[in-house]
Amino acid sequence: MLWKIMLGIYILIVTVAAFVYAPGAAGLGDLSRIIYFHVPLAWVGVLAYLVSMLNSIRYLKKPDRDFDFRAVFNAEVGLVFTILATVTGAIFARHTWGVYWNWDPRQTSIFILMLIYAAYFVLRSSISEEENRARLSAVYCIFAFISVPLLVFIIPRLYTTLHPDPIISSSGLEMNGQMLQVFFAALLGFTGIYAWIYSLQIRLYKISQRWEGQ
Amino acid sequence: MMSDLYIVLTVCMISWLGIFFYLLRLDRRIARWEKKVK
Amino acid sequence: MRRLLALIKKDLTDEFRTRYAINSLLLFAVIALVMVSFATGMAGLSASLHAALLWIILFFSAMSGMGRSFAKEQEKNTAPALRLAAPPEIIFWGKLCFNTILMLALAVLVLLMYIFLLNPSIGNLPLLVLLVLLGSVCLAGASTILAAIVSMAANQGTLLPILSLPVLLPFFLVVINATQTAFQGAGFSQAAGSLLFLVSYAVVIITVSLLLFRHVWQD
Repeated sequence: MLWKIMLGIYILIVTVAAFVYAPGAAGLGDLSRIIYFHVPLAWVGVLAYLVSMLNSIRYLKKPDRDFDFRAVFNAEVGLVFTILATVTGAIFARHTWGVYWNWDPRQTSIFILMLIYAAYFVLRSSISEEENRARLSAVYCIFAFISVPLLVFIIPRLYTTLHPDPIISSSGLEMNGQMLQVFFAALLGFTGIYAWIYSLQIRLYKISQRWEGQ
Repeated sequence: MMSDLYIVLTVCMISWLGIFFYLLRLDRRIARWEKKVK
Repeated sequence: MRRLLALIKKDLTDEFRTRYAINSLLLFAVIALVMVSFATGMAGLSASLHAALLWIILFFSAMSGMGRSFAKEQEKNTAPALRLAAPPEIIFWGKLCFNTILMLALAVLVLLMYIFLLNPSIGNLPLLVLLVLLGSVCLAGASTILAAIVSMAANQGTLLPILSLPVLLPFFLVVINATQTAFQGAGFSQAAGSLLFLVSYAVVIITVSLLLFRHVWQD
C-alpha cells in the first residue's frame, strides 16, 4: 500500500522535474519535454503487448481462462497507453514538422501497434463461443506480433529512401545528464503505474473467480 | 512563454493527481471486496 | 505429399467449375481500374501514385479472394471430413498453395489490365513483374491463416481486411516503395534490399503461420 502512495508522490516529483529541472533540448526547447511522457507511454504500450502475447502463448499451450483474461486486459491497458502515446507524438509532430502525421517510421510503428490492438478486439467481438474466441484471438495476438520487430528492421532502410528524420530517433536526440535522469525516472514511474494497474486487474479477477465459486 | 510552461505543468499535475486518487479509490474498494470474499 | 497435391487439385477443380472466386475478384479489379482510368483520363499519373493504386487494387482483390478457400469449407460443411483426411500442416500447405496460385493468376491479370488501362510509364518492367509476383506470394502467405481464423467468426466480409492490415503494413511499405522505383526505372541492384526483405517476410510469415495453424484448425 505504501509503495503506491510513494509512486504517486514520485510521479508528481518527476512531472515537476520534467518541466523545471531538466533543461530544454537544443533546438527544440521546451517542446522536447513531451518526450518524458510520450516515450514512457509508448514503452508501456509495447510492454503490455508483449505481456499479452506471452499470455496468448501460454493459453495455446494450456487452455486456462486465466491466461486468456491476462491477454485481454493487457491488450486493453496497452491500447489506452498506445493511443496516448500516438496523441502525444502527434502533438510533438505538429510543432516540430508542422503536420500531425507524416508516416515517420516511428509514427508508423505506433500506428501499427494501435491497429493490432483494434483488430484484436474486433476479432474477439466477432466470436461468440468462449473457447474459440480465446484460442483464435491468442493466435492472432501472436501472429500480428510479427509486424512489430519487422518495422524495427525497416526503419534503418527506409531512412535512406524516405525523408530523413534526425529529431525523433532516440539515437539522434542527445540528452545531457539531467535530461537522462528525468527520462529514466519517468520510464520507471510509468512502468510502476502499469504494474499497479496490472495488480488491480489480477486481484479483481481473483475476486470474481471466488464469487462465482461461492 | 514561461508562464505557458507553468500552466501546462499545473494541468499535468492536476491530471495525475486525479488519476492517482482514482486508482487509490479503486484499490481500497478492491481490498474491501477481498475481505468480504474471504 | 500425394495428399497435398490432391488437396490442391480439389480446390482448383472446384474453383474451375464454379469460377466463383475468379469472377468476383476480376470483376472487382476491373471496376476499380475502369473507375480510376476514367477519372484520370489522359492525365499522366506519377510513379508513386501508380505504385499505390496498383497495390490498393491488389490488396482489396486479395481480401475478396483469399477468404474463399476456408469459407467454402464452412459453407459446404466439408471441414470435419477435411480434418480427418489430413494433418493440419498438410491442410495449411494445401490452402496456401491454392491461395498463392489464385493470387498469382489474379496479379498477372490485374497488372496486364493496369498497364492496358492506365498506361503508366514503366522504367524497369522485369523488376515490376518480379515485385508483383513476390508480393502476391506475400499476400497469400499472410492471408491464409487469417482467412482460416475469419472463417470461424462472424462479420466475415470486413474482418479479413481488418486483421490483415496490421500484419501486411510493413510489407506494403516496402513493396509500394520498391514498385515506385521500378516504375521510375531503378535497377535490380537498387531494389535488392527490398527484394531481400520481401523474401524474408514471406518466409517468416509462412513459417509462423505453419506453427500456429493447428491451433486455428483444431475443433
